[in-house]
Amino acid sequence: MLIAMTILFLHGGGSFSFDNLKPYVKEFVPDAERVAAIETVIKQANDDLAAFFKRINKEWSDQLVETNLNYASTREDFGKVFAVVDAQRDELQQRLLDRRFEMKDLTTPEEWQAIHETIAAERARNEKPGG
Amino acid sequence: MKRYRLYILVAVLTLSVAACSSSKKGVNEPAYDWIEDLRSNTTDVVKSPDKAASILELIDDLEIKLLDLDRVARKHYASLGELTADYATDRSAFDRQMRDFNVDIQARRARLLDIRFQIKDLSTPEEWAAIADFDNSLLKTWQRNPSIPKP
Repeated sequence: MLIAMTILFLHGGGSFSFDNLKPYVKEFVPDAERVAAIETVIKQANDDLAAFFKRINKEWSDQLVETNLNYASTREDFGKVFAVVDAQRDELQQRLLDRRFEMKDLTTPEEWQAIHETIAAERARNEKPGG
Repeated sequence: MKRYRLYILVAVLTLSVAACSSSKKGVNEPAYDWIEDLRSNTTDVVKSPDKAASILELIDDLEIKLLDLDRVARKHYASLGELTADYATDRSAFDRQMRDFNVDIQARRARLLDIRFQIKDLSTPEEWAAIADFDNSLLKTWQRNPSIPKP
């Protein structure tokens, strides 16, 4: 059950991965300074994620484990555990959304479209059976 | 690399690419290996066959709910991907998409908690200690090597 609840939390985690953008930024953004700026944002996003998971693994998991183990735990006890992590999740979602807009604003509409069309095409290839 | 896999699990909520594996399991195969472990441990721990059967039914329900979550989550990630790819998407569209999904996730979590409490109520404190302890160890193992939900 704990894994299930954790999966649920992670699905709601609102996390974003920007690493997949990196190779295409270099390909479609011709300006070295903007590429460097975007790569900085990608690194910041990865750092945000790493810090979040470090905190979750260190603090939240132990609280969840203890609450689950206790036969007398109530729904309110679980609610307290989840409230803390939900707040952190919301904060992370907003921060990563900020990063997305920072990156977008460093590209032109044409560059942004080219990057995402290429990513979508690659994803479609990878999702084919046996792909 | 293991941390990377954890990222992948959550990164499916990505703004750009859902990096899920597309491999599929057969209908009779367990969606999650750890659920099989949970079933196996339950039959070891709970001595009453009737109670064990009731708990196993609840674990079946847990599995169904997770598979359903996976379907809903994939749809959500696809929507986020579309929003991301559109240069003109404003922030409110993202906020709305995430808020709706977060509300849905919280409702699903409440239903999972229901299952947890039903299993606990079927168990004696000693049985629950063994089940929960095993559950906790599964969590720790899973955190070291999380698997992506696969429909």
